[in-house]
Amino acid sequence: MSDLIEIEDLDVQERFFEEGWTDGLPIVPPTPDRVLDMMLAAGVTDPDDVLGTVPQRGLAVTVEKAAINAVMAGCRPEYFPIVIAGLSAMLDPAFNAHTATTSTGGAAICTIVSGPMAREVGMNGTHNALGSGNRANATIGRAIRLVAGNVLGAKSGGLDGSSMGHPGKYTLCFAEDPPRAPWQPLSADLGFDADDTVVTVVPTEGPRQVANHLVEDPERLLLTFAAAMKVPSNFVSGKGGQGVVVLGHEHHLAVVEAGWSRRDVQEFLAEASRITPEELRAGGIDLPEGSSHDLVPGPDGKLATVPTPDDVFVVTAGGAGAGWSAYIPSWAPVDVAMARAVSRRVRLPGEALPDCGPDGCEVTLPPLGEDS
Amino acid sequence: MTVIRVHRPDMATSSADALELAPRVPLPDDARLLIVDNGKPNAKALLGHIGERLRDLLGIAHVEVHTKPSAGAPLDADVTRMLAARSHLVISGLGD
Repeated sequence: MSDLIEIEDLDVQERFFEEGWTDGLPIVPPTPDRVLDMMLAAGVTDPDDVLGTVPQRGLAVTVEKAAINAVMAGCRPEYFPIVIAGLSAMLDPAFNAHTATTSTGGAAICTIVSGPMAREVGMNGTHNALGSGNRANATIGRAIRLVAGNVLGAKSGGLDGSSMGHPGKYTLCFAEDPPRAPWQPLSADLGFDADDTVVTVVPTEGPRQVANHLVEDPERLLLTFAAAMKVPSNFVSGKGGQGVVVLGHEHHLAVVEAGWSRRDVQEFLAEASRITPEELRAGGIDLPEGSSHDLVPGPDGKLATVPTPDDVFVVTAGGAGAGWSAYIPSWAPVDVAMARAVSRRVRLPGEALPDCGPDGCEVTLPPLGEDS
Repeated sequence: MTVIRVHRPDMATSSADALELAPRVPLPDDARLLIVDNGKPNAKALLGHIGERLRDLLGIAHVEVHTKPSAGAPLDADVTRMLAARSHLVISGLGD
């Protein structure tokens, strides 16, 4: 059970600012009733349930701490299952929260929600999807960031070593706008069921808007994205990172009507974003020497900006307009940071959990060699 | 004004007892200094200079550099034990 403090109601904001418990914006006071409502909305039965740990820091995130920070962020209780899924993904060892929330690179925890629950709770995946104005987008992302700060210690003066940071570190969360047929939602292409809501978290730099208002040919259009992906000043250009391509309305229409699948787009971008050492040097970027991660061009003389097509997350979002999209690069090369995107299905309130013993869970897996 | 109760959002911390530094022990004639390079660009060069300076200052016989496979992950515990067992001094931290 978390510590309770007694305080004059008009002093709450200043006290929370003084304690360093906010992100610089006012918060909703996390009273016991509000925190309880948050947990009940997700079917939580034990506030001490652990969502995950960061072993390097000896820290665990309990569902109650998550709920406290979700209240502070301004979440409605119905958002909390999504917050839990996002935090569970962030705490997966593959995400490497210890490094991602510490690095001088200053990563945001970019949170993408795909599936029916995004609409049900009122998330925005259309106009201004990456901007302000939607409570669910803003507060779900803020809740995850507040947990990183308050529970994991990732704050300035603490364990967040961001040299510059960016506005996405307040919140960077958006919903997928369900794509046009025959494309499936991102959740389905990630291997989940069509009815699932899936949260994907990616440690990222800030978003770059991608403009192309005049071209419909998919190859020429996607070359604009490839150009954004391999800008030498992106840290991962030529170094093997990941990236989120937020495919806007017109650009999505152009590739779908040309018969391109999401996989076609991923494969094209992985190839077209390869870059030569000379192109990097022309942008003032030298290749590392004598490090654990020296870069060696492939047979084509180029370096991979993303190691594989799977490292390009193509998400449809944004409203109709003149041809705007966005690109959000991961903040560090995968093999340097040992950090990558992780997806988690949102568990519905009351959904049965695996029968967990004191030290682990028993789950049923198909026999080796049998298709799942 | 009304007094309300609110939860702390952070992990309550207790101040740790002050620790005394380990006693300085005399180095043997064949002292070995081990330096852990985090694998980032220029780290090995910087640490190499520090190693040479300490060799001169402390009369260290051997300076060894161990390079981590990735800056994004800590040393494996078994590797840490192995390195500690064969060294008299270890520098294991490097900031950007």
